[in-house]
Amino acid sequence: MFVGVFSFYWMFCGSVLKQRNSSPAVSLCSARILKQFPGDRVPAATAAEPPAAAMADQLLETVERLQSRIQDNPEPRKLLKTLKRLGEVQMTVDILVRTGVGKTVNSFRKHDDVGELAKSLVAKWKKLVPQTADRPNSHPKPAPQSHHRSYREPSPEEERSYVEEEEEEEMVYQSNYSPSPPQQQQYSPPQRGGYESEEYEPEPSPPPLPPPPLPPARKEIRHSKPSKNHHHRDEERWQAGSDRGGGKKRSADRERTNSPPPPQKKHSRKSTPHDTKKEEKKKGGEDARPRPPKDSPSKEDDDDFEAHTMSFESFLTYDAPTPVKKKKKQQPSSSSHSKPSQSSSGSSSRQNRTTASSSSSSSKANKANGSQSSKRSHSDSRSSEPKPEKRKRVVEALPTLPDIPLPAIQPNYRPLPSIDTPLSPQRRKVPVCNDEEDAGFTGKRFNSKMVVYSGSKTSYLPRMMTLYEQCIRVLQNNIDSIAEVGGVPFEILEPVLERCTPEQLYRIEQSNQCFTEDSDELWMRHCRRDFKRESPQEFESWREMYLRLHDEREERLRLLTQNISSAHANKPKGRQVKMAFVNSVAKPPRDVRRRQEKFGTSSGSSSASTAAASPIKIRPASSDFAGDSSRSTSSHFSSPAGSSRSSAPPGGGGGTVHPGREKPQVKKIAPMMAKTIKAFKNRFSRR
Amino acid sequence: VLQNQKWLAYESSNLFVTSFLIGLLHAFCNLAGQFAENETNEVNFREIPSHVLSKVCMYFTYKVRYTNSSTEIPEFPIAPEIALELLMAANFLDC
Repeated sequence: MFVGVFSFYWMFCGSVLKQRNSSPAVSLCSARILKQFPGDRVPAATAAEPPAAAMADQLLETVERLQSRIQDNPEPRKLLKTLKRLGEVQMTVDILVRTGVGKTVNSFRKHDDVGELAKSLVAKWKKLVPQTADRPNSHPKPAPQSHHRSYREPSPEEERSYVEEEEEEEMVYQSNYSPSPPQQQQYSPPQRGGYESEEYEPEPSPPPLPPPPLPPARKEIRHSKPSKNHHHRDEERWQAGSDRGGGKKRSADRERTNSPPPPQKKHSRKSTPHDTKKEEKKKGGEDARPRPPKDSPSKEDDDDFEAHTMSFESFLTYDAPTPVKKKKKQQPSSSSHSKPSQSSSGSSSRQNRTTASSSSSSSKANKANGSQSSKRSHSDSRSSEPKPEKRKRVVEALPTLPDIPLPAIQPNYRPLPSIDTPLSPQRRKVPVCNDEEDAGFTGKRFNSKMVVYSGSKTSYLPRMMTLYEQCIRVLQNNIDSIAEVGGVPFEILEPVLERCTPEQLYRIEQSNQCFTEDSDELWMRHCRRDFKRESPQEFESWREMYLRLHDEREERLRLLTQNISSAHANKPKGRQVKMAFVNSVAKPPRDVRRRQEKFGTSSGSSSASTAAASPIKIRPASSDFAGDSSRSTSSHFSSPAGSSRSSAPPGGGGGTVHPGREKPQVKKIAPMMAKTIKAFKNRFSRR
Repeated sequence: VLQNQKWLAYESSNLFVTSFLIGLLHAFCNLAGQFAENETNEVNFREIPSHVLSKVCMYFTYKVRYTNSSTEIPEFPIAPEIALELLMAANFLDC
């Protein structure tokens, strides 16, 4: 706890000191150094600067030494020892930043032996870095490529902000393990040549310091952070150098490639300050820098600053879906060699073996494989173009990887093409960039691509099935194609026949009489299922019973159908015309009738109409009626709707108004009509 | 027309199948009724037509490839036309 308090004190002092000059960060004494300066346990902050600086240097060297030991020596025992040593060291934020030891150690967290220790170390060191949650630009959660941060506020509280930055950087860099080292972003806590430079111009390559063998201190994330102190320049240079040197080592840890790189690089570069740019110009044509020069001019034009710092959590969860380009490059070359584990070699060997008929299909498979690998290499070359130098570095530094080329992880992964390629369903996966469309799909995802599939999904077997099982499966899917089976015994085909419907079973039996003897069990099942209530008659096999019952059922159905159809047959088909005024003249609409009465134009006397309306039975057959009506009363009778005007005016009007007239005729007025007539009698009488 | 098929022809051209088949052959020497092939590693399947036998060999390749492998096992493609014969052969060879 003494040490803890001490550390905090020293950190604060260190921040103060840093502002003033470019001396290396103050760090706590390591245990070793404490032994050397026993009397300096409680040095005054002010007086401690020179010895502190010396101690800091020593500490830094120690840490670096241990770190290089870790990286060079993958032996578990030694790793363990070195990690323990590192744990004993009094780590400061600054050392972590400068040496990048945190990253190195973190890369071992998955190690068999030292993983636990590594994890605990990292956790401990993380605690050193206090969270700064109140800064407006701190720890942005969104993906790095979309993050723009303007950190240009000239804040008077340099110390505080510097400390915050430092810690923030610390956390950020500590958490920044996923992006691949080759990205080699310029670290730079950007120089605050300060308040004077309002815009950071992108600084593509680190300053021309000869890279000390330091592990990379920063990823691109870090340099994007604003630093308000110009003395950072040195640190930045140093770290940039260390970036480069450590890049090799970093690549050993991760096989990731440049999926986030282009956007991240872009961001990071924007954030660099004037000073670093100047330094970069100084070195001019140094192209050993991992950063591709072509990006820098583009970035210089940008006015925006992008200082993105991904928090630890977002880094952990950030998924880089792109494949390992380097591996892809190797794979097509290795695929040409015959290796039993290689799929392409498998297909090529298959090709040799198969007969002419299948050789074409397997050559297709081979071609597909070749095209796949060529596609891979093509995409590989595409992505590798921006960073040729980095690629070299990555390729160089792969000491720990086993020699077996791993299959590339790629979004278009397909398992081995099956032998008869045209027969198996192909499934194509088309990753589609989910851009915001007007059509309306508004779910914009930032970190993952929307994958669109076409075709049916290739089904996979749960386990390796025997050839017998596979054949049975195929036959079950094609029962209707089974005609004559030849000599196949019933037992072999039984799984297939179990799946037959009674009709199918019957048909197969017809073609293969030998099955009839054995199939009774199947028939029994059908009987039980379809005719639950029936029971077999005497001396009847299940098959016979089923057939009998089935036939009976069919017969019943047929009879019923017949009855119904005959019942319906008597009904008239088609559209029928029915006459409304059969026994009387057609009644004109009300207003027409009024006018007829008014002007006396009602056609036909009642006698005429009644004569015509002799009681003719209403016959359903429209044809008869139509014939009659056409013969006799065509002039009077027309279609029920709207007849009165066109036809000779019938005396219908008289019928309603003068019900008395109808009495000699056998005219019946419907009861409703009678009521209505009474009701309206007053209204419509004689206007 | 049934043809005599030399198992060896398939064996030699396929690395995968070799080891598998040798075991098979020892098991089948009784079935085929020929003991001479213990020396020659050759079995004549008179009953199995050649197109069926070639499919069987393909199945062996498929089996060796996907047994105890972490990749997903795709369906073994069988044309419906040969399915019956292949069924017989599979039953005969018990594979």
